[in-house]
Formats: sequence, C-alpha cells, structure tokens
Amino acid sequence: MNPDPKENRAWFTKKLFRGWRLAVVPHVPATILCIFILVALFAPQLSPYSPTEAHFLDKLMPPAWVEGGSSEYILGTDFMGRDVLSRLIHGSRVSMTVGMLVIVVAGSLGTVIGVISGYFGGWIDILLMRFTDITLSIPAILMAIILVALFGASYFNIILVIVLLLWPRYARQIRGDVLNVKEQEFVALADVAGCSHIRIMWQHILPNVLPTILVLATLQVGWVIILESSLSFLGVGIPPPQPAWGVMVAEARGLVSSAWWIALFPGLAILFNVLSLNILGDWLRDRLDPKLRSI
Amino acid sequence: MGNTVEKQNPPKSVIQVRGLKKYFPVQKGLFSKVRAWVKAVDDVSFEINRGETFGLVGESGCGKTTITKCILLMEKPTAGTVFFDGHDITSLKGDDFVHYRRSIQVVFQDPTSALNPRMRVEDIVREPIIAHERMPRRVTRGRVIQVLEEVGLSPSSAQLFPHEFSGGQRQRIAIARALAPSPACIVFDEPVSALDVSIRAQILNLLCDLQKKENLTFLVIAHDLAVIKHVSTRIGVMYLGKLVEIADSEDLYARPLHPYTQALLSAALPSHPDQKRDEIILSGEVPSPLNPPSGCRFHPRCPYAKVKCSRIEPVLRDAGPGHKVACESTG
Amino acid sequence: MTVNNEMLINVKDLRTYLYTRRGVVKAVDGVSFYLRKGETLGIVGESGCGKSITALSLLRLVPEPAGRIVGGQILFKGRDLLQMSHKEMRRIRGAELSMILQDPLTSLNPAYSIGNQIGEAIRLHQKNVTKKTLVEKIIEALKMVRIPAAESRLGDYPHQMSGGMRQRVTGAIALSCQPSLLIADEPTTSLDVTIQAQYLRLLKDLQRETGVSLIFITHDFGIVAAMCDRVQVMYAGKIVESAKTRDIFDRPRHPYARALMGCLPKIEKRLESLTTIEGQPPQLIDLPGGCSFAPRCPEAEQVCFEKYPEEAKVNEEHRVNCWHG
Repeated sequence: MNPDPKENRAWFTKKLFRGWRLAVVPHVPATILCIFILVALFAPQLSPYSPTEAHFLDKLMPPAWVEGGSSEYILGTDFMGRDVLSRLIHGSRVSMTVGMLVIVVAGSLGTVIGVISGYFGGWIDILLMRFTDITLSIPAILMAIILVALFGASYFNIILVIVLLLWPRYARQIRGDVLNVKEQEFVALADVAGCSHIRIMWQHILPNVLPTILVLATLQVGWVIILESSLSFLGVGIPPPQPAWGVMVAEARGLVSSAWWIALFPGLAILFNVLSLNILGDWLRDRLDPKLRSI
Repeated sequence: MGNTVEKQNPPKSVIQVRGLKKYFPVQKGLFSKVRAWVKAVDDVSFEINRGETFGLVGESGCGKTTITKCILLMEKPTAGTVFFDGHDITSLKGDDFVHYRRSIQVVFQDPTSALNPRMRVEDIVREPIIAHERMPRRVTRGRVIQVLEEVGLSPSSAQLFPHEFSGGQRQRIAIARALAPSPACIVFDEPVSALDVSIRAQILNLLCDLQKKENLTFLVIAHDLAVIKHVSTRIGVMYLGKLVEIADSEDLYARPLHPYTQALLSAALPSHPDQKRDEIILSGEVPSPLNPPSGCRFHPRCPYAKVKCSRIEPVLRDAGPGHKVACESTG
Repeated sequence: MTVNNEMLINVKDLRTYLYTRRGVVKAVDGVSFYLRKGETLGIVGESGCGKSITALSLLRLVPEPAGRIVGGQILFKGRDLLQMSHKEMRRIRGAELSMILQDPLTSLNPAYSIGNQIGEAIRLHQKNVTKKTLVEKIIEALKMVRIPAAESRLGDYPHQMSGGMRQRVTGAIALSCQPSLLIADEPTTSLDVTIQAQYLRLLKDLQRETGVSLIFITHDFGIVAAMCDRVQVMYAGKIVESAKTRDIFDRPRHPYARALMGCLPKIEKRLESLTTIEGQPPQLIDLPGGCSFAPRCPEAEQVCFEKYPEEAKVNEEHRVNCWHG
C-alpha cells in the first residue's frame, strides 16, 4: 500500500495498458486514412503511368527491391505489363468513391427509416422492421450477385446494390438507439409542450442519435470496401478496365506463387484501409459514449 | 402558501377532476384478446383551487403519476373528465388547445433526462413558448433571461449546455422552462427526490417563493410526507387507484382519519431519536392493481377492518371542514 | 440494544483514492471510526462525500484500477483487513463481513431464482453441505427475513417479487452465513415509506436475534434517528463530526452537520423556509488546503481556509473537526 501518488499513477497506467485500450491512440489510423484519401483525390497526378497502359515487353516484373525489378515500376507489373503502383493508386479512387457514396446514401435512408420506425412504433415499426429483417436474412454476396446478374454490372449498379444491402443494417441500429432516446423525459416534455412530431424528431431525437450514425458510418465503410472488393473478385463488381483492388487480387489468382506482388499489394491496401477505419470507428464510439468517457 | 384556504365555488377552481378512470389493458401476446385490466386510477374526483398547492401523496402504484399524465394529456382517460377553467380538456381544439398547452406545465423528477443534452439552455427554456408559434431568439430572449433570474440562475447560463450544471441547477432550468410561457398551473412530479438533501431545501424554498410572487397554482406529487407537508395547502392521499382522504395540510397531519393515512404518517422516520411514535406497521405488500381487493381496497391490511369493508366500496364523505374520508369503519 | 464493549471493527486513517483522467480524487481521506459488538453506526453525508467508497473499502471491493486503498488500517476482530491476501479476504467477505446495497433490482441476478442465489452464498462459505441441508438452510434464511410461504418461493425469480421482497432477499443473502458485521448502503432509498418501515423494523429484530452489528450508510437523518446508536457526518472524504445520536440531534457542533439537519422539512413543525447551504458540494479533485467546508460555511474565518481543523473532543463520544467546535 503506497501513499506516494506518483508511484500509484505509474501502477495505474500499467493496468490501463494491460486492458489494451488502443482506443487511446487514434492518430495512427487517422493518418493512414488521410493518406488514402489524398491518394484517391490526386490519383492522376500521383500515379506514374496510366492504370490501363500495357507494356507487354515489361510484363511480370517484380518490385524494384527484388532481383529482376527496376525502379521504373516500383511495385512491379502484372501479366499485361500494367504498372501495379498506378493501378493501386487508381484503385483507391474506386474504393473511396464507392465507400463514401454508399455510406451517405445508405446512411441517410437507413437513418430516416430507423428514426420513423423507432419514433412512431406500432404497425409502422412492425412493417418496416419485417421488411428490414427480410433484407437482412439474405446473404449479402448472393443477393449482390443476383442483382448484378439481373441489372448488369456498372458503377451505378454496384453502388445501388450495396446501398440496398446496407441500409437495413443502419435502420436497425438507429431504431434501437431511437428507442432509448425516446425514453428520455425531455422527449415527453417536448410532446407535452405541444411540439409537432417532425420537430421532435429533428430537434430532439436526431441530434442524440448522431453519435451512433457517425460511428456506424466509420465502421461500415470498411464493410462496404470489403464487399465491393469481394464482388470485384468474383467478377461481378466494377467492370474492367477500371482497376479495383478486388479485381487486381482476382486477376492475380493463378499467379500468387510466382508473381506474388500483383495480389499482395492490393490485398495490403484493403487490409490497412479497413483496419484503420475499424480502429477509428472504435475510438470514435468510445469517445462519444458518455458512460465510458471518464472513470 | 398561506395557511388559510378560501372555499372556492367550482367555477373558480383551476382544475377539476371528475370520476377519472384510467385502465391499462393487459394482453398476452400480440393478437390475443385483452385478459385483464390494470386499474391504475379508479374513479377519482378532486379540485385544485386557484393559488393553492395541492399535494398528492401515496406509494408506488397508487396512481398519482397516472392522474398527472391524464391532466397533461399524456394519457387519455378511460372514463371521467378533467376540467380546466371550466372546459373539458379532452375536447379542446384549436386556440383553446394551444392555450391549454401553455397554461399548464410540468417538472419531472429527474433533472438530467428532462433536458436535451444537445440543446443550449436558452433553447430548452424557450421551447414551450415557441412550440406552437415560431419566434426568433431575440424576441424570446428577454423572457428567457427573466425566468432564469427568477430561479436563481445568471443570464449567462442561457448559452451553456445542461452537462455544465449540477443536478440542483438542472432542476432550476427545468423550472425555468415551466415558468417561461407564464402558465396558470405547474405540475411537479417528485421535484426533489433525485436531489441531494441540501439542494432539496434550496428548491423547496424556491417553489414557495415562486408561488407567493406569481400567485401560481401547483400540483405536487411526492412520496416524502415531510416534503408534501412543507409545500402543500391541501393534500390528497391515494391508495391503489383511489383517493382515500383529502384535507387541509395541517388538518391531515393533526387528525388523520383514514387508517392508511395514519399508517403512512406513522411510518415516517422520526426527526429525533427520542421521538415517540406509535408505529403502525402494515402487514403484507401493496396488492397488485391487476386484482385489487373487493370492497375497500385497503381492507386486507387495515387494522380496523370489519366484515362490511370487504363488501362495500367506501365513498369520499365529509368529515369536517374541508376534510373528506373514504372509510366505512371510521369515517 | 445490549452493547458489548468489545471492539468489533476499528478503522484508522483510511485513505482511498480514485485515479481519473482529470486527476486524483481523494474519495476517502483519513477516515477513522470504530464499532463495538451489537452497536449500530450511521455514516451520513450527501452524494460524493465518500461514504459509499468507505463501505466498499471495508470490504476491499473498491473498483480497480481506478480506485485504490492507499493507506490506513482496518482492524476487524484484531486483524488488519488491508494486510490480508485476496484469498483470506474472500473467506471473510460474506461470512463475517457482509453488505446490502441500495438497489435490489441490480443486486440480484435476474437469470437465477432467489433460492439459487441464496444457496450460492451459503455454499461459498460452507463447503460440505449436503443438498438436503442446503435447501433447509435456504428456507431458514427466507424465514429469517420474514418472507411468507418461504418453502414455495424458492423457485421465484427477482422480477416476480416486489421491491420490498427483493430487498429482503438481498438481506437473506447477506445474513445467510451469520456475519458479525452488516453494512447497509442506503438500503431503503428505493422503497416506499411503509415498506421502509417494515424493513427497518426487520433489521432491528434481526439485530436483536443474531447480535449482528450494523453500519448504515445514508443521507437521511431520519434513519439515523430511528436506527443508530452513534453517527458520523462525512463531507468531502473526511469525517467532520462524530457523536452519539442523541448528542448530534441536540447539539450539533459542526456548521455542516447543523445546516444539514436544518435543511430537512419536518412533519411536526411548520418551518417558514428551510435552512440552505450556499453553493455546491465540492469537486474532490485538487481540494484546497484548510477545511473543505470553509467556502460554504457561514462561520468561516481566515484560519479555516488555511489549516485543516484538528479534532476537538466535546465529550467522550463526541468529536468535531472544526475551529469553532
């Protein structure tokens, strides 16, 4: 039992890290994400070659630091002689665009439905939630494949498909949160004061559900990117010649043992992107949750 | 809150409750028929006169909160009526309805959940004013500052958020919000039970001061007998959905007539270790409002119960000036 | 109550600190008190004064890693609890030293029947009990807290019982192994007035029957008046006054104790307005030197802000920490 406060503080910090609350450090994932976003924005300026430009004479060249590689193609080339780095950079555009758009559209749709469902309850809630359940019970990939097969593969259709898959997840989560907020007395008081439903939903419910929306957004972008990559991998994603990371991995399937770099780098890109988003999302959730905010 | 209460004729009373009943249906499953009713409020009648504080006291499940919800139109009565200034509140429309919403305000028990954490104090306080009519902030600012000062908060509080205040201060904000539309009547549902002891005193003093200054009418619900006695001019005692006794504040504590009131008073904790108390310890638990006892609802636990008590439901009868009791045995 | 002069628990200069992101909270800062066998002690204060953490410290249940007992001694039946190993402490907790908490709803596990939960408490401390004896002991425990038709309620779940009944069950669990000391932390705050009266009467009867000593943690002087032999008033982690109950009601010496008692509305006497205490309870981080009540004290002088008052002895059992006491 040590009355010395400095010693106790050290003991306390040690115990804290044993709990492995990585949530304390958001700087690393945030930086990684910023890099990805900047790369996506300035893709044409940053990439050394066009992603579709084929240099048949230089095909299947390994990365620069491996024997046989050259500094002309830093990350090597694929089986058509296209620069891996350039394709990687442009591929980030696809992932980022799809990710952002899907989140904004699905998020808005899911929020509106979740708020209406949770606030009004009754048969509106039952109806909307049954619909949500039905959509959620179908496996995402299967649904995506069927829809793409029906409507054809294009940028727009992929986004549409993923939005259709994503909004129920949002709606469900938001509805749960709305139910909690609805129990708070200030909602009842607004009702008693005579506020209209719209006003209550906009002024009272929505701002208090905002943290959930933000956290979901961060956590779901990762899911979207993986889904898009999976679809691309399966050949029902963004159609060629647009370089998507999933497509790059798919194309390199047969060459994994001999030309490992073609699949590795896009794979790593997906990994770091999604991991950063998840860590950031966890941190955000911990920060915004008032119960966890202080001991 | 003076000690003298003038007898008011019914039209002079602010709120009149007549034969109020509120039953909640109990359903097993989504589609099955209603199996039973929870008789939360069962034929309750009383009046609240202008300028007085009416206290409603009783233990959990007695229905006092449900009555206030009916008065505030948060619940629709199953039967009976509530009159406000002579008008039936359930049939108010248009301007009359808006006027009612402005005229009666409420302060709840928990000051933390009563304030939207994402709104500034100014917006919280002015909400009852602008609920029916949009007004820019500069128009309502004067009133907001006025009521904030009345409850003992500085004008600079208006720009802050609820979490920057202590529990007692948050309750003051809630009271300021209730005062903002210049209501005729304010309902307080356990206004101090969530607060620390020393803060309770501040808020209770504030309530007394406000009433004197603004000549407001209060309806106060509480389970703490001392609190109710301190703030009320008249008190109604409830048990299992029924009003069992009404009397002036001093009279109720000096001459409790209903056995339940007597038990309630004797159960209150002493204010000195040497204080002599006749402890009437009631046997058993409060029965479920799903299946209230026949006749007088209190008879299974009543020390004076007679055979007729299980058969006849007692009615509120006069038992002295301003004093009514519902008891076949002693009343 | 017959009071044995034998000392049951003697707490000396207990210090429990909480380490938060904003700094060190000295939740319990040099608290000393004692309890004799068969006595009932009340620890009174408002929220944040440290009374609940004191109770948790006695049982060494202070939440880690945020909280930590950093100093002092807790001599229970002659042995210092703070020097014991976790294993020894676990043997004492529940068997000799027990606690009831405020909210019976969260004290009981909603997934298990009450019979199961009482049984678990018994089995923890009496290893070699047969199934049949266990059931008998559970019924005995339920009967002890006057639960009617005890035999038929073994399989009941907490949600099937009323608040008062649930609080009795927590009492049964706490008393199932006949502890010598029972700490009750605001046990009746969530109960109705008449149920509270029943429960307090029950505790008094149990004390008479089993000779258990009680410590009541409360903010309600009414409970003190009804139940306690002696009382301590806490403020900002320290004890500011301790005395026999009668003495503190008749002659409270510390301005805080006096103000606290004047705050309460009384049923018998009609007060025009209640005494209030200016300001807010203090933040326990970075408390200034001197008496922690000084900023709110109507009688504060220069010395009060500079030095923490030494303990003044009013009489054998009555102590005050105030420059004016």
